Amino acid sequence: MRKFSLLLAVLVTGYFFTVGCGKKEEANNETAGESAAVDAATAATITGKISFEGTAPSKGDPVKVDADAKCKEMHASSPLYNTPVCVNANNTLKNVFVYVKAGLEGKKFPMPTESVEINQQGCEYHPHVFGIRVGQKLSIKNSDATLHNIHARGVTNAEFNVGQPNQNMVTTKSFDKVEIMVPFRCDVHSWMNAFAGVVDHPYFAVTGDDGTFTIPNLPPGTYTLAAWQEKLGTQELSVTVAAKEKKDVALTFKGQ
Amino acid sequence: MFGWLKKRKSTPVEERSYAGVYAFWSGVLFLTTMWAVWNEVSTRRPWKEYQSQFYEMKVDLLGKRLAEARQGLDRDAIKALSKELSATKAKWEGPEIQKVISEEDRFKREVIDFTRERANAKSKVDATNYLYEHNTRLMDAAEAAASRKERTALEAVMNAFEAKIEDAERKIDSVDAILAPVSLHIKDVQAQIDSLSGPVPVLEGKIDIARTAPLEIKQVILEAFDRSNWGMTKSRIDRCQTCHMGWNDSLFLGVDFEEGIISKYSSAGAYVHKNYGAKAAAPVIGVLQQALFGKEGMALSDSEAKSALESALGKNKDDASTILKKFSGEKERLIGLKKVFGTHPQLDLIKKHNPEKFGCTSCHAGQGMALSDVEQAHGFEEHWDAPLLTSHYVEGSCVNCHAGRAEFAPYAQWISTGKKLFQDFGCYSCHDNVDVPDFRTMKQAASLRRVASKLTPSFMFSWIKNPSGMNPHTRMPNSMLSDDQADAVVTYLTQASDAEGYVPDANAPAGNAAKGKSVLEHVGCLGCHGTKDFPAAGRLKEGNSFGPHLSGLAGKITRPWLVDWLKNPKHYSPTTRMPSLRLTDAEVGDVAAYLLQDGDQPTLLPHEFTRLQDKAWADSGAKVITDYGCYGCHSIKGFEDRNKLSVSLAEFGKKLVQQLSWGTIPEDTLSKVREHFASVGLPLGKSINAHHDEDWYTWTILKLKNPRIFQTDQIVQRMSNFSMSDSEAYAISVYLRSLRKTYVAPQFLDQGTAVQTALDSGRNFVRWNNCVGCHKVEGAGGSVSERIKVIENVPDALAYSPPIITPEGAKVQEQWLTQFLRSPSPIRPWLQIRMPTFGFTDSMVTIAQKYFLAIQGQTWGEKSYDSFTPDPALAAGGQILFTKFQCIKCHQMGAVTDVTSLAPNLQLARSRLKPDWIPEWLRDPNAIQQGTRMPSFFPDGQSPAPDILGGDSQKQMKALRDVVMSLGKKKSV
Repeated sequence: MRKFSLLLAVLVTGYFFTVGCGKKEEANNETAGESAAVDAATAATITGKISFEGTAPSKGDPVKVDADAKCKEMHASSPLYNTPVCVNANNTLKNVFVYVKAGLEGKKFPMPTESVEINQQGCEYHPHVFGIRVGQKLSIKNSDATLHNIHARGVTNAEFNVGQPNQNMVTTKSFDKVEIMVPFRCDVHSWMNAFAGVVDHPYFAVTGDDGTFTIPNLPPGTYTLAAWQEKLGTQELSVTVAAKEKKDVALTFKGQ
Repeated sequence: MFGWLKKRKSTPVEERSYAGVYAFWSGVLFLTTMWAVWNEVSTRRPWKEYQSQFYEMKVDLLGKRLAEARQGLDRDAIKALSKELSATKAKWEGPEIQKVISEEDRFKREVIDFTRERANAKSKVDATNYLYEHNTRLMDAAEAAASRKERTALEAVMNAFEAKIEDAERKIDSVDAILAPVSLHIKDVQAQIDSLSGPVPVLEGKIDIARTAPLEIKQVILEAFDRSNWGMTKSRIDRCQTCHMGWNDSLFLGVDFEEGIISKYSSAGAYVHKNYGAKAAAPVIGVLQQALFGKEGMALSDSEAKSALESALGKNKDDASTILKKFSGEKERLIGLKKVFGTHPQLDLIKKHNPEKFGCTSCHAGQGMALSDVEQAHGFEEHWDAPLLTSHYVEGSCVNCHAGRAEFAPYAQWISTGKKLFQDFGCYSCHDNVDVPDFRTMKQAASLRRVASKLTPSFMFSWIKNPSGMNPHTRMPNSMLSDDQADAVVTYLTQASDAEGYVPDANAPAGNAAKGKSVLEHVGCLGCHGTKDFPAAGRLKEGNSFGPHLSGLAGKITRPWLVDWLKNPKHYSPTTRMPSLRLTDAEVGDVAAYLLQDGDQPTLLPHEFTRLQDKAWADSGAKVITDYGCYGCHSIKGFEDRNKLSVSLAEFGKKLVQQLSWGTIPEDTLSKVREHFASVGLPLGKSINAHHDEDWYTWTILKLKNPRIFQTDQIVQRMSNFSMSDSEAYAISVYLRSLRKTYVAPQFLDQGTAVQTALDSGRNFVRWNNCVGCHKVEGAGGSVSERIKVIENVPDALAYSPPIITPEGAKVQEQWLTQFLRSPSPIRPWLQIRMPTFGFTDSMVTIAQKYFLAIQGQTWGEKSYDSFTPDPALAAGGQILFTKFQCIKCHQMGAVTDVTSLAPNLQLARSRLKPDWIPEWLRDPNAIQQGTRMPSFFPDGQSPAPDILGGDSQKQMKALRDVVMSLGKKKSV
């Protein structure tokens, strides 16, 4: 039964690899944790869309995963592609980290009790891009029956590199400083990489399959909104929201 | 007028009165005495003024702290407690308790009296007992019975006293039961008040001490520190702390102190306080503080200060210029006050060199005993040979006790840099100097013995005429030779070189320049050489400015020479520091093609050689080489065993201004040099100007910047021009100032331990061979990884860089390291950069070994690790862990087929690694080798395999070590 479900998972994953840019992720649009300091009656929301202009880069040759028999087995019929610029069908970008860069200085927000999870599954990181609060727990899981090491190479945060030899093993870590972004890699499988945006407030989101994002529950004010894409860089936008306002913004990244 | 004198003369001697004369002279004597006392107490004691100022400031600063401490107090609670305390104390003093106390006293006296009486009674009992026993032995029954009776009576007396004592003690106890609760309560309330008051009482105490402190000379005596001119030891007395009282007082550090100086001792501060009141004055004084002393060393400019002052003053902003005007005249005095009282700027350095033990003048110089005048105390008087070392020149004093140290960073950057520049510019090649590491006896620059096979005469001519014009990175100085002199030198070098009979091995395929670029950038050339794409910075022989800059080679060197050089540098020059990178012939061809590609031609001066074969002309070239000392840095045929060309610098730092020749230099040049260096933030040392502006510092800087500036038609000068930048000349001058051969008594000297010696020679060694160009060691070096980051375009350049070698001594076996240093073989298959073959001598290998061991606190000696035997109890667990952790996923063993496997072959471990090292490494690899791909399997000491060996991570690491050490066969080395 377990073998069957694994096979099924592989097949399903394979389907998405060939048509899209990766398995559909739970779009990380929730703002982590409710903020008691924000008055719900006046809270504003920023929504938006990250568009892509230009020709979508080709996904190139499949990643060579032969070095690890387990990875090879999992991707026998569903080749793995390295797509740092992931263009959705509606010409929007997936995996863009959007966050409030400035405008919240001096404010404190309650810390969510739940942890953020990053999973190593099918010799890939899920999610590929995510946001996390300073001090929030990051639970690192290895769902594969092979050795992964998660090597976080933060510059302001301390570097860590933990080997996870057991299947379903979970290691918990956290970051103590703001950093955009902390890159992760697996030194055993050189193609595996992920990025974490570490911020000290709950106002961040990652675009999903439709390129949109929502940042709700914001106190009214003027903010600098930043959008980070691993290949195309960062764009910034100044946004002012009045009480209860719902503002829609648009950003466009140009292809290289 | 003189009538009275006449009258007096006519009076007989016996009748003359001397009262007036006596009265007059007593008056004079009295006034003189008064003046002497006044002069002694006040005029000649300027330090008293400083001390009172110091204590005044201290009281102020403590007062500020006290006010802050008082602010947070729970006054009501303290008041209530104090009330209770005084009530309880009053009760204690009251008649009731006092009566009890006097009773207690009486009982205590009774105990003493009765104890004495009982002791008397007991001695009597003992005496009668003796009589009883004595008489019994003599069979005198009657006497015995009498004695016995008497003894019994006396025993009764003794017991009666015993009972009385017990009775009195009981009474004391009962009285205590009344007193103890009261006295305990007093103590308890007092303790509560103390804990609520926090630092307040301590601060109050300190203020009292500062208020009542006597003004007195504070001195440190350094026993037998000096030697007199006649060779006798003498003590040194430093009284600097008499005025510099805040040197280790943390109160005299920071903004409070600086604002205090301005508030108290400037008219601008007084004006602000008077006109605005304490509260409004605070921000204004804050601006003045920042304008003068700066925040983190950044002082405000005049215009910045003005605008900041205006915003601090608000509606009174028109007052800003008045305040600034008052302030500008007092700046120097206020900075002086900070210098007098401020805490020593390098407290951690001071911890290692406690002034109570080492004094102040041992580093700063000056006239430690003098107290009568500020200038005299600092030694700024004509006949004091050791005036205060100002600015960075104080760093030169490190050498007095720590001769031979390779590095004085981080405390003394300028002397460290100056010493390195002195070595890297090859100054020691012409000037004798005691302070040069051993292998510096080798020639600093390229060998010219066979130079004709490398360079064309035209290139040599242009190069000699203007080295830095052809390569701005060069350290070669300009000897300012005439065309004829240069021509003659080239002629000599060419003829001498031809006689060597050197034939380059030019056998290499014609290569591909693009491939050559890639080879050059990957194999490690960039560790030592700069290129057009990765230009070298600076002229210290470090990082990629270590070797010659690889540009403009096409019109400079010949291909046969380059091919031979790349194949085996020691073939051309057996003493070169250029190592072999073990390039294949194809690689050599490619690199040569890249380096000699067109479009990189240097511009040569037009010159016709007409006498290249002329022997006599060559002899005149030899004369030029002799005169200008080319042989100092270059190895030249026919110039072996020459003495150093120029004067010794061993005691240059203590040359007096009279001993320096000033030529015909105009006076205003001197003052301009001083002003210029002060304006670029490199102030020259302070001297007293005995002769106009002539002093040691100005002379030295001028000489370094323009070596022939003091030349006259009588005095020929031949020193070459190194085109030194201001900071280079300044650093060297700091170093030169240190060359004083100052006598210091042995007990104060850094005697040097074996470990320190090993570290010093090791540091010289890694610098001499530029190991630090590629490797990071002791936290420095490894700059090649910045270039690898660009070339490989990888974010984790550290994983693609040569390893950090700081842990080498603890990590690898001595035998292996010896073998590796002599003949390196690849350890990390994924690295493209290669460990070169240096051809180290045995003594150099030993220096390296001792150095790496010393870093790790280990000692050198023959060691063998063959006897290592795995622990059988751990064997089974180890095997499971080895499989479970999937070590061989990355650590491929046997032949490496896939370089992406990314980890060293574990079969090497047995003959390479020290057994104790492996568990250390497994514990937290990233802490040892930053950026390593090796993960930690034991984060926070927790094992991911709790079911093996009881989940004990220590045991598991040892078990894994045992497995690794058992792999493969012991390789014979």
